[in-house]
Amino acid sequence: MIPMKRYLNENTLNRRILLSSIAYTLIMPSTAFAMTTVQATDLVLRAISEINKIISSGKNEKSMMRSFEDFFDSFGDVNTIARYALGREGRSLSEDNMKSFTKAFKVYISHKYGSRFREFIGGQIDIKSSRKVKQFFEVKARALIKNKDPLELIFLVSDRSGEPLFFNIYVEGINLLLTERSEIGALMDRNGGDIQATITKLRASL
Amino acid sequence: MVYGRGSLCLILCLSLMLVTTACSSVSQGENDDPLEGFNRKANEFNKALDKNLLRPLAMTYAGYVPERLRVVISSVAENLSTPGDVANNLLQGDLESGVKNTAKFALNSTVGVGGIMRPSEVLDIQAERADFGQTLHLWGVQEGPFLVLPFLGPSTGRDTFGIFGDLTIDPVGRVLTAEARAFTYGVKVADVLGNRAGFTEIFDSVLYGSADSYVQTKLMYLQARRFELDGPQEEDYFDPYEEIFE
Repeated sequence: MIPMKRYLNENTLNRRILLSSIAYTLIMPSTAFAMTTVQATDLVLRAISEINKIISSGKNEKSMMRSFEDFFDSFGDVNTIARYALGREGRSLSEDNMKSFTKAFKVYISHKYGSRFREFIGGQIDIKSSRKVKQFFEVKARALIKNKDPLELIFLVSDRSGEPLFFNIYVEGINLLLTERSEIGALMDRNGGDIQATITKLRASL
Repeated sequence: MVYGRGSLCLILCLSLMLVTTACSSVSQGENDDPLEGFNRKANEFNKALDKNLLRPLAMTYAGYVPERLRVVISSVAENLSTPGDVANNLLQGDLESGVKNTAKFALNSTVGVGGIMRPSEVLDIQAERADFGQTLHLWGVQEGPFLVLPFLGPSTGRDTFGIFGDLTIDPVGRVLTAEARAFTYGVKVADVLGNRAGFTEIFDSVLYGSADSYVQTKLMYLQARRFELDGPQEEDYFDPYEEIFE
């Protein structure tokens, strides 16, 4: 475990990203298939910096949510998250259906979690530690928010998709994958297992 | 009066203990939610209560009471619950937190004028909150079944004992006059409204925006509570790639 306490000061952050990018380039040939703790931390640092940038941008609701869609695209393994959320039902889907579900799902989680992230405004997120667990990496962070208790965040990061991306987020122990699998499962049940109806409902829920 | 309340709680505790012990033997089997039928009804009741009473009251409250005052009220409410934290710290054998919480309470009650201000934060006294549900957990009591309490919301067998346990051992209730007690209830109610208003988006999205609000409430409560009690558990991490690429 590498204990780390880094305040998200822009300069430190940029320097850190620069340094780790250099380090990454240098060691890249020998470790092309082995992700490192540094890369996982780096991804989460960049993700947190992006969250901060979006919530303090002063953009209107709609364009802020568009930015969160891009955020999930750039930092999260949306395909895996969507497939896991669908569970067993996802296995028998045609590629086209899977694609349109993934797209609707991405917009849905971006709005849902984007509005949670907005609560961090004026706060500060620190990385606390990162380490390898099982076949992936765990990066712990803490969000300090004015007049509220601090929130413990955990990002799980993997490069199984081909690049380092997060595939699950825990906020105070509540994780995205499990919560959404249960929600999407309930939505599918309600629509008699009809994926098109579920996609329509997902779009309408925004 | 004090004894009356205490013994009533004790009786409730004991009868609940019987109910949950009976239930927990059921929960050893495949069904992880033996009280689902009752729970769903209680969840619907709580939702109706929220929709018709709590939410509108909270919105009115937040509309009239400025945020700074709401923060003060929540701080006074927290101060009032600190003696309960101390009692649980001691029951858990956590002397250090007990001493810290006592110092925090003494300081915030006097210099901080009844918890309106928090001088303990200036001195960086960071004390662990504690409740009787947590104490029971540390004593080895099992979680018991998931339970939705009418009026009070999601809980477990163990945490339900915890609620009554905290009422029974609460040192504040024992020393206050009837007027002072009425005041503390007022503060606590205002704090509940403030919390409902302060977390509107999360409450609304779970209660009214989800496909099955009962399942979402259960999942989120259990995850958050287990995390609060035990911290992150590595063995609970699951790998979606294993399932997808299998």
